[in-house]
Amino acid sequence: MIKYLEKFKKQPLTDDEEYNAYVRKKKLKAKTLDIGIKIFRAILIIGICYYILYPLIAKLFSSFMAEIDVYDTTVGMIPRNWTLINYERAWKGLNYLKSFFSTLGLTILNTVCQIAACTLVGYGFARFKFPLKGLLFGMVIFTLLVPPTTIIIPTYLNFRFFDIFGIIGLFNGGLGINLTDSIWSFVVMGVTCMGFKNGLYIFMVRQFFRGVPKELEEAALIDGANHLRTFWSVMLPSAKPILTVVSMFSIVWSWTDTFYQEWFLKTADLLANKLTVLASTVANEVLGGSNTFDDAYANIIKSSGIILVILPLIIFYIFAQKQFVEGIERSGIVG
Amino acid sequence: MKKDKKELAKLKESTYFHKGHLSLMGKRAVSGYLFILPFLIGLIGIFIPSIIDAFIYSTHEITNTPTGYELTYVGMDIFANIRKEGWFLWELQRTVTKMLYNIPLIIFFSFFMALLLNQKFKGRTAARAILFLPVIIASGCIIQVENSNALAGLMEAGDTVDAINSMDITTFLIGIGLSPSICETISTVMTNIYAIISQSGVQILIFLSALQTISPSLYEASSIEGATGWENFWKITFPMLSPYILTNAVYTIIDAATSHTSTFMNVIDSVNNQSIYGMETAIAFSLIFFAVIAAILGLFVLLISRLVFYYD
Repeated sequence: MIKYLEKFKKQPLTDDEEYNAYVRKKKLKAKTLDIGIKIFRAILIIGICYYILYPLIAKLFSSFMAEIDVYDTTVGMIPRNWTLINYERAWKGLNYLKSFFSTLGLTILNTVCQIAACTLVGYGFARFKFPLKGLLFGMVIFTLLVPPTTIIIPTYLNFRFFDIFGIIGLFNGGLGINLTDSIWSFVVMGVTCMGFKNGLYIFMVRQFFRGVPKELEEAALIDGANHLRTFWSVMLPSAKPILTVVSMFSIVWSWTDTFYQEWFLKTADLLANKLTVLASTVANEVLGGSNTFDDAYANIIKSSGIILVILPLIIFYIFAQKQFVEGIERSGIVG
Repeated sequence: MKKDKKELAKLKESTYFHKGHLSLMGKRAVSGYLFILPFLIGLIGIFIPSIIDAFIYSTHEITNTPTGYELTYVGMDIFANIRKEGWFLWELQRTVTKMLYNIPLIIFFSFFMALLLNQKFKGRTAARAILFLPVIIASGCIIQVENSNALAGLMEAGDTVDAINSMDITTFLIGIGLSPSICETISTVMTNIYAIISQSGVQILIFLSALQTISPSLYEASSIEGATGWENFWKITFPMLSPYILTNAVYTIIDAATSHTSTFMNVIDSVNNQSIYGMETAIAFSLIFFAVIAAILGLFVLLISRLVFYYD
């Protein structure tokens, strides 16, 4: 009986060769698993990227298509006659250089105002206790929940006859000042957290600050810094990753925003505004006279326009993304 | 009982005041108000008046006059009319069911993708850039231009692309000999994939930035103590990301409800443009819709906030 059991006893690894074989086997197993995971990951990522990129690539190819190819049914996705004429027309139709710089200016202004205000507010909600805090934070979510379309008319009237609690009205007969058709409406909305999806920025910043250990802040307070100073020199540097993400959203959404721009800056040359009417602009103004496009060719002009508008954003993202990865490694948050 | 309440109120007051002066807590509360001052001004000065005006418009009939517009009070008639319109409730129900199963899917997908994109592999920058593209593509002027395209669908929600793909797959599956009902489910999932991918750009980025904030020293310490990768995930990554799950749930619900792609927003828009209904009906519709969304939001926040771990 004992002899029988001894058969199953694990043999001590006395032999070097046997030990090496065991290690090799284990390593092989780990390696197979690793390769399996890598292949799975690659397939998944490539598949998803394909899903996202396919329509964009189709657009990119079609933007290089000459007008004859559009009506040629034998031409598939890839153009037969490559041309840059669509871009030339879209460039003129968008009035690209001028629109680019004015959009850039508006975007920077918008982003700076919104992010500055939302960071302060988010920090206030994350770190202070005060009466009615729950209700007020509920209101932040509520501002997000109400789509701008619902309240745009009252908001527009508000800015048309802008007044601060009736003070300005005292001087000019109760009409207030007209802030529409100027960047001031954007500034006012930005610094009061009423811009597009600003509630989301407040929410994100608050979630971030709630996750930062309190010790950092307390140390600064004990050393004699006041709240603003603590915020500025201790909390803000550590918030770099979240601020990068939030500004990225703000930049993209101001860059492509047509809604607020149509209401408050109708007359300015801005990329988003120009893009929505690009096909007819190109037909009427660039080519002149009574030209009209049929839908197929108008589509190609639109594709070129879209590529011109989103290209700066993509380039910007590639740089900013690097920044936010590096920013975190230096931020020095220690758990 | 009454006495208790009084004492509690007194205690509460005394946290902010001490002998008629502001206590330390009171001073902190004042600084708190100062920090959220921008929002307070916006809320009281811009947002609340606009909401009240919108509500006034919804209970009035609006007629254009040469000098502007006139409001005639019609009271709650509009709300009563809506109840008679059966399709409104049907549309609402359809939107809400769709939202309820899409939200968990989007959150799960974006969480998973963020974990994946946080790993080190070749072409990570490119993959991150591509996954950010839907945020750009699905925004403002681009979606507007796409919607106005006669040959739309190439990009907008990928409808045509998906339709073709899933058709191919369905015929293939039926060819294999699967039952039609299974094929139908698979093709519905296929068409849904693009919607989910294109709606999770923002969420992926939020999770990704959150993953970056977790200090590597936490993982180091636990690995030295002998924790496996699986344990690390549940004991470190998941709790540290949990506040952002809440953020993303809130964002996803709001985005699904208010974006251009939301079917219900399109209903509201079309009602707004139709002469038989008009703007006041559209506003009334949206008010009801937002009450429903607010209820869903409250439900999700309640459920998820049980999972959330905060550092303090």
